[in-house]
Amino acid sequence: MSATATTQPHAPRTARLTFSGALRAEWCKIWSATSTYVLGVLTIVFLLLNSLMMGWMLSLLAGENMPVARADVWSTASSGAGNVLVIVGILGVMALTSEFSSSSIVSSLTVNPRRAMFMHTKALVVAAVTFLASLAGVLLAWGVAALMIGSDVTAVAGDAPAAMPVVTLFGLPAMMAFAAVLAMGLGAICRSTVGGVLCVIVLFTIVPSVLQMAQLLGRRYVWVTSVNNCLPANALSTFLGAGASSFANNAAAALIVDGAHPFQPSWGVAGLIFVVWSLVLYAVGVLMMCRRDVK
Amino acid sequence: MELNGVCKSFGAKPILDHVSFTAPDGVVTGFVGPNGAGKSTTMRILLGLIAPDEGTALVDGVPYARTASPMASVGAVLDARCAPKNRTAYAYLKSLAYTNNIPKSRVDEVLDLTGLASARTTKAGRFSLGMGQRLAIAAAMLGDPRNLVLDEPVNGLDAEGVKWVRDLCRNSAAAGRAVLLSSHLMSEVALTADTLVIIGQGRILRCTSVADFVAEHSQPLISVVTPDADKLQRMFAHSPGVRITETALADGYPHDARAFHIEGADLEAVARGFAANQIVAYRFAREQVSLEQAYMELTHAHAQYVATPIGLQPAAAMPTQPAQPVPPAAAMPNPSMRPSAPTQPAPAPPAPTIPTTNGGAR
Repeated sequence: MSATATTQPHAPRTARLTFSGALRAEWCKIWSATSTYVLGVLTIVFLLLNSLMMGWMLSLLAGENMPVARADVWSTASSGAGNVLVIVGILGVMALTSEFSSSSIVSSLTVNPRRAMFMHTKALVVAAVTFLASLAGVLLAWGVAALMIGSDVTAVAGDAPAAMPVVTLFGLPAMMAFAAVLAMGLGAICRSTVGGVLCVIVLFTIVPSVLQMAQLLGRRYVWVTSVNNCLPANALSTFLGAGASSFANNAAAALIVDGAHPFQPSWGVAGLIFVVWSLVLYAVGVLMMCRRDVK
Repeated sequence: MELNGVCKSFGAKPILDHVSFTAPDGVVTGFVGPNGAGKSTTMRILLGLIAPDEGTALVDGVPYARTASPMASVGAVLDARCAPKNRTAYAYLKSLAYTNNIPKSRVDEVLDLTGLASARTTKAGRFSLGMGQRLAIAAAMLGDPRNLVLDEPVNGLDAEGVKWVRDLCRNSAAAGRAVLLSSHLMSEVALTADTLVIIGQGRILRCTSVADFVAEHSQPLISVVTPDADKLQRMFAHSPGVRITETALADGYPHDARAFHIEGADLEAVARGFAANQIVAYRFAREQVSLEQAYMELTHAHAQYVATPIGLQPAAAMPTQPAQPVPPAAAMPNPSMRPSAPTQPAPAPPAPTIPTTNGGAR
């Protein structure tokens, strides 16, 4: 240590813990992690790749005289949302659990002992990063979709709902931001990257797949299908459909169990359900973060 | 910084039992205890990382979580490996500084202060334990805090770093700051601290000043190595106040030599007695029972993790057993302080001592 302790310079006495300062610190932290760049790029790439594949498939079908609607362009742009949901989930989990795995949570909570503030600032930053990456991804995906099937759109197939462009271009990134916050809540509950990521995968992919099988059981288990429709992944899918009658949405809407109609939220309600999922799990995470010891 | 009646259990296991003490301003308070005594838990409770089951922990009169300026209030070193491995030293410190609106220029200052200026762009994962400790100290110094909480801050530091930390503690106290310095090494704390808080198995065993503790436990003794053990025993046969303890013999002495500690006897009288009785001495030195030994006497019964002394392992593990040393407690002057568990074959090893004179003839 080059200087003696007697000659140490002094920090300004104006140093105070503030929300904006904590926000700035979290912004600095998230961009110093390699995983942020990797997962951000993956978000963009997956949205783009899904759009490419869906666009290619629709362009083939359009060649066989299947009418392509304007809504199909938007659905194609958002077709990667299901995959990206898991990626942003991992980003959300890792934003918090990496602090536990590296023990930096000790120094983070020592310099900012207000844990709710710590969580809120981190959640805001995670949401902002996810929103930006998803926005970039969906803009590129929309460009690709428009290039591939834009020329095949026919007036016969109908126009897209008025809200669909906004829902796709801004609703998708917003929902991804909520998904990352939801995952951060799971990370706060589990405090381990493996546990948190597992929870994300189970909630976003495994549970919907398992419950989807329940529709084979007939009318008696129609409520299971209703529950399934309210799970985050399915709610997101319904929301992004924006009520349009598109190729993808028609396939999703065909879930009629033995003649009975399970609860199928409208796209607006589905969006609301997704947000509620996010806020509830995040609130539980904040509560647990505030109450549990950091050993 | 003060703790009042703090109790904490992890599950059914009690960790702290009504811990109360104050680390006042302008004083270095040494917080010592064996591994698992509850030092780190106490410090984490003070910083709000762990919630106590009972009691209160206050910094400048308020719970730490309610402090308006945490980094200006307390600078803490709790873990040398507290920086994320993939973050550079500069980025790590910058993120901490931003939290409390401390300017970036202060980051450069503390990097210079701790000798890490040349490693500012090095990722923390590449740091040695000592460099990690320096980085943790740099983080603690960012806010120029009024209080310092240092949990084993010299672990992994080189000699220059250790001295720097001692100076930091002393100068911080001289500047009116409260310094709480934990260690499991009494010798380290004794060099730096003004007052001592000794903890064992979650209970405060003693709160005293270092000077009082030293005065209380420093007993002069004479260490001798002689071939005339019988003459030595006869010389003190009628001196009930003198205690002779045989200790382990160091290498290099003739085969007929035996080592002893003589306690409670005057140096000059013993020397003249040796001459009068024609006792040959291969070694004759005045020593003091060390602070470390006194500390071990106090805490050994409260140590949670006690290793089997080297030399007492099963024969299968150590086929050749040339010596039979025993735990240092066997050489303790006060039998009531000895732990009851292990058997103690003689001769006892030399007690950890601080030589004050070097003498003896070969």
